[in-house]
Amino acid sequence: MIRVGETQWEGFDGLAEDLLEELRPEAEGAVFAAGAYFVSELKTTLTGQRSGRVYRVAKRKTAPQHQASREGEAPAVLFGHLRNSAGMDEPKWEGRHSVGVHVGIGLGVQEDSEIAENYALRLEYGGTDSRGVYMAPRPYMQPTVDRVTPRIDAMFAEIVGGAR
Amino acid sequence: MNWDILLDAFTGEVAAMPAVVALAGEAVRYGGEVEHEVPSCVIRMISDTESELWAPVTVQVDLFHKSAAVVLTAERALRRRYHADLPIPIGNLNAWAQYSDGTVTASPERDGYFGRALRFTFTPLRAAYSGG
Repeated sequence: MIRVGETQWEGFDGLAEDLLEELRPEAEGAVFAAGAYFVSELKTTLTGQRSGRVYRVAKRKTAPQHQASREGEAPAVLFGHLRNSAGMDEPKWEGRHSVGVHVGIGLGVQEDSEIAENYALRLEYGGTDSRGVYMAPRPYMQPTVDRVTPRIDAMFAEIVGGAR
Repeated sequence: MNWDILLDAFTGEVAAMPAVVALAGEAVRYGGEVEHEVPSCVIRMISDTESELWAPVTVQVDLFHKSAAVVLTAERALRRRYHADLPIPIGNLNAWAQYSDGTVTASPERDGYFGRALRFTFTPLRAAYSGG
């Protein structure tokens, strides 16, 4: 899997304990904000018109039409299961100097391990479904990581700068 | 902008690697709307972030073959070549090359063949730093 599940900041080494106490809430806030920003950008990636195949979502003639994604595009929203499963958990401390938060698929309002483990992975990398049909990748996580990384780096840099 | 030069050079190199030739023969191609083939080696660009200073490029290589051993030999060869601590020459470019990720995309008990997707991140150096 893409290792983007965690936004983490380690910047406390060598600081006095009283200063650490002062900085911890700020660091936790920065990590939380970075995680929330990532989730919102991930949902943005998973939103919008696509240019793939058009088909009816049910067999009856009056059923609404759905336009799927083309190979290489982020997935189109049909029922919204993937997008609704994007989310984050609470910031957690590892020891005294490191705080992190998990973000990704399977942590949102729709928690479904099947989506997290199979569907999400198959869309990102491509793969064969239960009928044995190969589907080319519809990457959504990697483009989001590329897009948000500079901004998240800047968010952490602001905190580090503020600590000086 | 270097991603097009890099992708061309990378595809040429991969198509000529003995382990990839053993896996796919001439069935090495860019990803696109064509029928899925086994065996094959499919290369596609996942992202190019032109807005960043160094413009890294993520490329996915899909390997499909009925034999796990053939897939793994090709994977090992690709990772040995394209995961390095220092910049490596790819075509006329010098680039940082790192294996960033991989996953299984097909399994023999269900599909009758093996599938592996590998992702490499390339960061072409600016001409000023290429020593040429």
